[in-house]
Amino acid sequence: PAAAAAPPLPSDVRPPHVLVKTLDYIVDNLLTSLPEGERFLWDRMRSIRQDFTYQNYSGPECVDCNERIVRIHLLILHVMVKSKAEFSLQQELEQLHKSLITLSEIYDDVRANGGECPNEAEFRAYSLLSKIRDPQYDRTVLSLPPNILQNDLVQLALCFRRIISNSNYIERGYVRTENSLNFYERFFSLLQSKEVPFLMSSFLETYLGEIRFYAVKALSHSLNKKHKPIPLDNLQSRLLFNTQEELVEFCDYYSILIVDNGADLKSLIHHSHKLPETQPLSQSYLQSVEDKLQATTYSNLINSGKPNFDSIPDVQMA
Amino acid sequence: MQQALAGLFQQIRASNYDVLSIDLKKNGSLISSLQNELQRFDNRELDKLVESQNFHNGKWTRFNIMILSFLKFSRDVDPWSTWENVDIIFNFYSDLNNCLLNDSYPIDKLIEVFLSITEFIIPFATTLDENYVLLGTRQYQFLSHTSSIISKLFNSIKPHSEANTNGNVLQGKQAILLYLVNKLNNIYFKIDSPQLCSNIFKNFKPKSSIENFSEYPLTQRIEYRYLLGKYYLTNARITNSFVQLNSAFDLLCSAYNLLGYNVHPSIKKNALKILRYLIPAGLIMGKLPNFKLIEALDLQLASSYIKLAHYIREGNIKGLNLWLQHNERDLSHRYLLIIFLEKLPMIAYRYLVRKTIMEWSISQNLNRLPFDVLERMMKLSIGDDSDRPDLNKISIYNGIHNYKNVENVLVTLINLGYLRGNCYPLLKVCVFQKTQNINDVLPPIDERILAMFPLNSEDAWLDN
Amino acid sequence: MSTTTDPVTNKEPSISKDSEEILTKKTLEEDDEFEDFPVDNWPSSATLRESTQLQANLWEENWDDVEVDDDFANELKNELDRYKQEHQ
Repeated sequence: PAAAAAPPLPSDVRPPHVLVKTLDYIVDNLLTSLPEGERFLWDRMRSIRQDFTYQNYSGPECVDCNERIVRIHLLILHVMVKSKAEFSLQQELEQLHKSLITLSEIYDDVRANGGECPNEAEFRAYSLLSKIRDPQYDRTVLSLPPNILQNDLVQLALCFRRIISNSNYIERGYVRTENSLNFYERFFSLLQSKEVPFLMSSFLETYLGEIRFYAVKALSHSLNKKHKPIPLDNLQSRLLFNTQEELVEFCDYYSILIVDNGADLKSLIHHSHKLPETQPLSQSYLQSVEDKLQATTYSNLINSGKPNFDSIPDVQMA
Repeated sequence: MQQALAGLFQQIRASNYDVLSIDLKKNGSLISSLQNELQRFDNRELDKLVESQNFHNGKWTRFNIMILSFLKFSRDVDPWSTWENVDIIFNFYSDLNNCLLNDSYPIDKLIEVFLSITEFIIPFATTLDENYVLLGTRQYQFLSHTSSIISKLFNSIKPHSEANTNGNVLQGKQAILLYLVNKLNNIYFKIDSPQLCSNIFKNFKPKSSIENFSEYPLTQRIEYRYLLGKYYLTNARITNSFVQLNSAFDLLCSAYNLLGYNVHPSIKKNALKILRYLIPAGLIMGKLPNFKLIEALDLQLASSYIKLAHYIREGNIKGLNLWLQHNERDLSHRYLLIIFLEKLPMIAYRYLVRKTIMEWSISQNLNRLPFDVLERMMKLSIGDDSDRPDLNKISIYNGIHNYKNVENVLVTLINLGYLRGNCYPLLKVCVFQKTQNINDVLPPIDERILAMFPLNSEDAWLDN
Repeated sequence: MSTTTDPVTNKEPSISKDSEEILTKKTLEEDDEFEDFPVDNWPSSATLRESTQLQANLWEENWDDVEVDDDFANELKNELDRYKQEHQ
């Protein structure tokens, strides 16, 4: 809550079990309102989280709600981009990060008290993807018990972090490091594979733009200066654009010349995926990820975890 | 007044602060006498008693609080239970520390006591934290608390121009600055929070009153460089890590003969601690350690890393991954697992490409390497699990590398500067200079790395 | 009382008895922390010269020059030969 805002009256704060019911209702009835309902969902989920914060409660209900809220945000990321509807990616990610941080704190706390939350590994995996280039997150996961490290999703997240590591990545505040892989080919093939579940795929889609940019940057650097333009259809399948229009939009954005139905990669002059004083390139999605979503239902995705109740000792954060 | 108490006050008045030790091993007999004499005092009476002594003319409140804290400790300490004494021990340590924060009081003589109590407190806090489950405390609670006390002292240190040096000898808090830096950073590693070191490393130079790092005691300098190198390594900053660890090892070797028959075991152990991080950093820099030398220090360390070095040198990604898997626990514990997983493969690929170019291109006097030749090599190096459904569970050991990523491997090698050539993605061939000398195509790694990843200029003063 | 006061630290508190089993994870990275250097073992100039040589030898001149000749290297070589035959 904003510092200036008055604290809510105790009577206005919903108790934990009511918050769970509220979220149940959202999951069962309101997810289908997407993409139009995004703003409303965003607001309702934030207020659920706030109510837990107001009463300083971090018991199983809070874990359950935060976990499902994270999944909903992940779902929204893909659905919004797919539908091309207006939404604030930055605000969506902000709430997602906040929920993940809340969860990490609670998981730590439960562990310090001798317990373990049943879905922890899944959300540690999302955390690894949330700050995908911050080495601190690798350390955190190495300091957790081995069963977390061994978890399939955590292993996948660690793979993706290595695959996208890149010694040519340039962004303010980021320190480049040695011998990084920049395995963009592997990024695309692994992301398409069925081993990567929808929610994780949806999160990884947010990195498509930068992965493509650094793939082109690296390719461009490896080409002879007289190399002829790469045919668009070749580049399209290489960088996994759904359509040629998307590729052309990408090339236009980074001022890559298109000559005779080919992209002259040598014409790339930008060093960073972020162009100063320019709106970011619009987000991308992959058809293969959409296919994963079509194979399931929203509520199955969101209610996919193990129940938190019964398995966590009653812990309240100080 | 009782004898022990009177003696204590007399010593304090004479600034002989050794008497303030709370280590019962060292100061047990004084404390037990004090305990006898202090039984009849309640807190208020103790307070009055301290005030009546008029130490420092009663103008140094924190000093009185500290003495009061010491008297309470002496009165209440239970020699049979560590746990019962936790509060009074930490209260005293914290009150003592508070005395040292303000430079306008005569604090220099208290610094000695602070050091000796710090040497007592850290192992004490470590023992408590190792038992946090039984004690019902939070993990690392006491070490964190200790570090917050020490960091207050660290933060209070200001660089005075001349006042702190007397000839070549550092005075007052300046004399313990590097000591505190090392203590804090050691604790931060212990409590799994190496990111906290960053602030200490950053503020060390601005707080130091001397320009030349070499004026600090040699052993503290070795430890500082070791910790800094370790810190860089946990942040995957390999070149910086290598340089710091290598100079820590260098300094240690310049001071002690590690292979001498009468070398003190602790020196050898410290050398090994450096090597456990220095060898990894070196391998990632494409440097081969002298294993004969390492064998002479530790057979096991040498034999383990010989295997790894071998897999890298022969371009064997599968072997590399198996080695990592085999050493997973130990590597996780040292935060090395992920660093290796990310930073070693390109060195191994370089050697695989090197071998292929030598055996295929140069031997046939060609200046090109078709992708499908390298693909065959990569298939052997990585393995082909695609037709084994039982292996389709993706792990960090089989999820990153795939023999089909030939072009990507070449592109990355070119971008890292390890391969001088061009890719022709449509023709699926890599072309390079026509030569009989493989070094023209694959220049030495460490030169390329140093060119691409310059050292942190903030560390330059460490060489002065 | 002084005769009955054993130093606290000499007698391990009861808590540490069972702790060894519980703390299998790790003992707070103890094995990574420097041990105190012996004060009485300060270097002489003679050892100083000897040992700088040692440091100079920690790294081999050039890893590239180390030739590997083993099963895996042969496997690679054989595979190249096969490829050559297939594409002649």
